[in-house]
Amino acid sequence: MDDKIRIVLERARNASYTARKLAEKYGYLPYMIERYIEMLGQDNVIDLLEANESPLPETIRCNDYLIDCNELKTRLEEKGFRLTPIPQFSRYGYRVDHAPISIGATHEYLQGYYYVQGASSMSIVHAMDLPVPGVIIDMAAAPGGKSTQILQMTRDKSLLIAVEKNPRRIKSLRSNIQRMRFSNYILLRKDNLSLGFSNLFDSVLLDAPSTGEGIIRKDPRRKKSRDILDLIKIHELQVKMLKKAIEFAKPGASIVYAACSLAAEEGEFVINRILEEYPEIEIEPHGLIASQAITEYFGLILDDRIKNCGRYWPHIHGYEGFFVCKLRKKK
Amino acid sequence: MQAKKEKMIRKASSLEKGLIDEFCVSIGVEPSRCYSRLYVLDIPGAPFKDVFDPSPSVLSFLKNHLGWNAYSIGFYLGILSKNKFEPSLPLAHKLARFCPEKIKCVTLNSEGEKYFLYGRPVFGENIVEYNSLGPVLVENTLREALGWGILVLEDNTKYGRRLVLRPVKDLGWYLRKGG
Repeated sequence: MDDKIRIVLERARNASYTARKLAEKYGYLPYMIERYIEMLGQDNVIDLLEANESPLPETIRCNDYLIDCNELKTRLEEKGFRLTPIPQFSRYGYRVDHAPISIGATHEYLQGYYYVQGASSMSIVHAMDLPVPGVIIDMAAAPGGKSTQILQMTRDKSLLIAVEKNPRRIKSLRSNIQRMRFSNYILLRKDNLSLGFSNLFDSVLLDAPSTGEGIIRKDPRRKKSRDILDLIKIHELQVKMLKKAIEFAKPGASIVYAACSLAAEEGEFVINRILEEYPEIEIEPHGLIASQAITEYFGLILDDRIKNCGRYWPHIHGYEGFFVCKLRKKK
Repeated sequence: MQAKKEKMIRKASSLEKGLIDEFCVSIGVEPSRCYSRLYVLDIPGAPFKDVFDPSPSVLSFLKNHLGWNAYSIGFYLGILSKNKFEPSLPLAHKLARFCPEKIKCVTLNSEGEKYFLYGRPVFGENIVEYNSLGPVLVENTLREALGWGILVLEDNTKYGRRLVLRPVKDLGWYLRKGG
């Protein structure tokens, strides 16, 4: 295990009285709260915990490859939906303020005119380089929100290799790509760690499997479903996958790493290990509205360049928690 | 219904091509309007094969980096099973612009559209126009494809002879089975 992670998690395990009381009140494991206090301070932690108690606002991404987004908005509003654009996250994004029926069950949805996707999630693809033509890989692609967005933003002109190992989830991925009417793709049902691509892709996306601490508002079970050992395992998996992503990228290509989590162990600490091992990797500004990532945690100082990575906080940005970082493999 | 495992992709045989061409002709369109290239994904032990129309960049990547092995590729045309071709929903979208002049098709009103997307039959009062009986592409009044159906004239003891659209594949599939 990485020494820094071991130190951090030992400290988090010894949760303070305040952390234990808050954990009891809000239904979390105490080590999680201890970490949030470390990142945010006690006052802001309450804001985060309160934000996590409110439902996640529903958002959609218009597929302007098939329909003008104003026309889609009008059509849905004629059916009784109320939509508000969220351009700070994506020029294709809308928050659903009122829905007379499920937003995932309209005829417009079946026509492929939009995708039901979190606001933070849809912003991630805007951090990517999307060369046209080009060859792009989405290393953990299901259910297809970001894959379909890559195809949309490249107007189906760049080849997308979308990888997913889970048999059930790859069916959703295929269905979503076909529903949204894209065709310049190859789906691989593989473990991305088993793939042998080398210096091949113009752009790489790794939206890594995570603890899902960023979507507690959507799935409150995550307040207690992952213990410290799970976090260590996930951190190690994320580091392995990001190393693969670096292997896959052409020299000069960018790699966007994202994780739907608030855990520094799944964000900053993953990047820190990569920067320690790969002198050819540099960090670039992501260009999103996300807050600056942290560079100090439980007394440990991380690589200062990590401040160029970003974090979406539920209590600050209003949607899912996410970590995002744009890396570049030097030529 | 598509492949569960990554399997080998190959060019369609002349027999397979013939079945797809036969379907295109049966709905009144030139095969060249249905596809540019025909590739088949064999699924050993399964009673069907997936058929695709991949772009040159897809083919080049498959050949050079994947040894013709993938789960799904490019434009999905449909399924070949038991000497029959079942068209896909993406193919319905692709051909919708030819309705009504150049393809056999039926247009439904909004009520008919609802029934059809629930996978239910649609009766004459909800059919706005049609140009043929038999296998047809199904559209709404906005000229948006809704899927594939078979239009028949049925004798019914209560209603007499009436027009009925039987769904073959409708967009509601994405909710019911798409995952």
